[in-house]
Amino acid sequence: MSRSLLRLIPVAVLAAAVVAATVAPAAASDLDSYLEQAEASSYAGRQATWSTLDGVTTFGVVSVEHAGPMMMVESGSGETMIGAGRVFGSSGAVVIHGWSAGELSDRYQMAEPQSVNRLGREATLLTVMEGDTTRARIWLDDATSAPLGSEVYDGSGSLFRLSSMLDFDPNPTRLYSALRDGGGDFDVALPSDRSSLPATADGYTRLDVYTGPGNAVQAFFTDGLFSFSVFEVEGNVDTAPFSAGSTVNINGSKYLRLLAPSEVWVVWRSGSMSYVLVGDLPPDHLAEVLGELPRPDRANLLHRIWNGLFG
Amino acid sequence: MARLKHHDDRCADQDLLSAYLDGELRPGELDEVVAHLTDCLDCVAEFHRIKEMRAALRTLPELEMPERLLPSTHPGPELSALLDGELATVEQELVLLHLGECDDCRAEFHELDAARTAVRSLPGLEPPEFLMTRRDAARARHRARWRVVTAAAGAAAAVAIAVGMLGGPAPTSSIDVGQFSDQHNARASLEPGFGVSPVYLSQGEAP
Amino acid sequence: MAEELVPTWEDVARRYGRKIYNFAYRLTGNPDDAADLVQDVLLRVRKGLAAYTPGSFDGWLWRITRNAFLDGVRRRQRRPTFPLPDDDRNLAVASPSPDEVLASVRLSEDIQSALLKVPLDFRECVVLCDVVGLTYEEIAEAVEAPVGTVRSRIHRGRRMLRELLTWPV
Repeated sequence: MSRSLLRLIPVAVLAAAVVAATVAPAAASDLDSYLEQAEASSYAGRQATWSTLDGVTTFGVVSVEHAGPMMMVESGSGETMIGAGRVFGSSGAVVIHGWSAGELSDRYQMAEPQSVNRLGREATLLTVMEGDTTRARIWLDDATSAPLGSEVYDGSGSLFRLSSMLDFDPNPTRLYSALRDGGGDFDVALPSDRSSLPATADGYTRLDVYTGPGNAVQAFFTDGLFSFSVFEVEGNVDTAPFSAGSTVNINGSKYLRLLAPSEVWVVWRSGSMSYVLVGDLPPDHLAEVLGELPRPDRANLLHRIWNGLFG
Repeated sequence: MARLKHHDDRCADQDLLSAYLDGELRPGELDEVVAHLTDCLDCVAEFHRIKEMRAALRTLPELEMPERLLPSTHPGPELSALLDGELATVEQELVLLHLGECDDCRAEFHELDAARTAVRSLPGLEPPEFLMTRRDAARARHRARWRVVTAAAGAAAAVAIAVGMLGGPAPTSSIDVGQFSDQHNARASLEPGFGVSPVYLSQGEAP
Repeated sequence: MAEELVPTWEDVARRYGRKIYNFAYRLTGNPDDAADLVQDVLLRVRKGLAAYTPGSFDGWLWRITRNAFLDGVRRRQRRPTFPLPDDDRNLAVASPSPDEVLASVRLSEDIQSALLKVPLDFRECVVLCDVVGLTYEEIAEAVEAPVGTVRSRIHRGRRMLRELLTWPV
């Protein structure tokens, strides 16, 4: 049941001039087969990812080795192995199984692929449209099908995330020995049917629910291109890890939001539960999704009395 | 008259004797071995000993593999053990893989989980014996539901009395962001699209 | 040239499970360790099956089996091994006479306990040859050593066994 998977690849900051697609959009299933090839590709190199949102920018560089479906990421905090439902890294190891299969949402269309050059290599540029707007662009190496770069746009046509390989080698050298020697104990995420979250949220489908980590319950959503998980935790959560974030107003409610290079985190309290959302979805999708999830508490009489009594 | 000879440097490489028995001689080696075995008493004796040993090994009884090791075999007590975190990692994964493909076992797993959760969330209640059968699980769940109804009625009454009578502030959990990220990425790696976020929270730097 | 069909996971378990179980049992003398190894191998096969490209399936499988076995050895603490009588319920032989049963059980007990005293390198080659029934070529692939080394280990393993066993005169 290996599914197509696009690694978020760095895109050269000096992006090629946008060439408007004039040909009728291709079927979304073509996008699937491109992504499948990308998932199976082998390559290595440094990858830079850059995200911007409401004037905040964040950026990171990692070394990546990929041999489908496994990817090894090396950064200052060590080596992490990801792929095929597994993550083995410095904060532990987890294995998860997919019970439901996701599908590419029919809001996406693919424009006619174009032949271009990138990093001195012959490549194909895929343009993913959502209605009339360009949602994403993806560059794939012709020789290896490896992803060379990508761009993700917010709903108004501004660039939200940029990712690019800084250098490229078709041969991952350290990945194979890491795979062979790797292993050890891991946690297995158990399936759960205890989520209180809706089955869909703005074009995203809730696929599976799991217990953990700890006392959290994870609900995984995807629209076939982007994905996010919402973790429900009883009571409050310690927001110290998100201290670099900021409180923002979305749909009239307050949320704590933190932008990371390739994902966004949102934390809020609703009723007796706290929610932690993490995913790579663009900001306009995020706003719609949050509107369909449990809303943050509003300050009310009970709260003020409470705070007055207990500080 | 046959020459009685004992093992010496001219004797064939002894490994050839085993290879000969296993039919694994390379071309050209056969003549050497045969010629030699007609010559050297020690090697002939060795040959017979090895032949005997090989035969004995090959008549060791072949054991049956236990049926429970087949992937299609339905886990029984392992489901409860899984919930209690008592399975070794390999066995855990195998049971989950089976659950992914077997609707019946998955349904039973959810029932066990629900019953177990309901009972364990009640204060002052002893954990029950392993809930091994569907019947037992259903009975436990029914019992638990009745108790929960009673407790909630009590809590509602307390609220009506005074705010100050409620229990203390809700607990604050610390969360390991790395683990949350990992579990999300692990699941995302199974889906089409952009998949995983290789650049983790801790690696981001605001320029 | 006939195309090789990649077997399903269940196929592999049914067709090869017994051989893998016996391989592990003869190498460890312990049915629990043998069962653990079968599970470990099946899991690794399941994970690797999607990426498996048709070639020598047996070679691939036995390489996995051997690596899993060595990982298991490294993971476990050394347990005292003692000869176990063959599990009667698992005997897959045609029904023999009582005398034959007695003789064969005692004999195989002796062989099993002697096997456990033979160094692992030699033991695994002997087991792969005489219990599992692989060719030298296949064994060489599984243990990732040259055929010449395999041949030597098999012979010396058999010799050692022979010396460890006391045969009735």
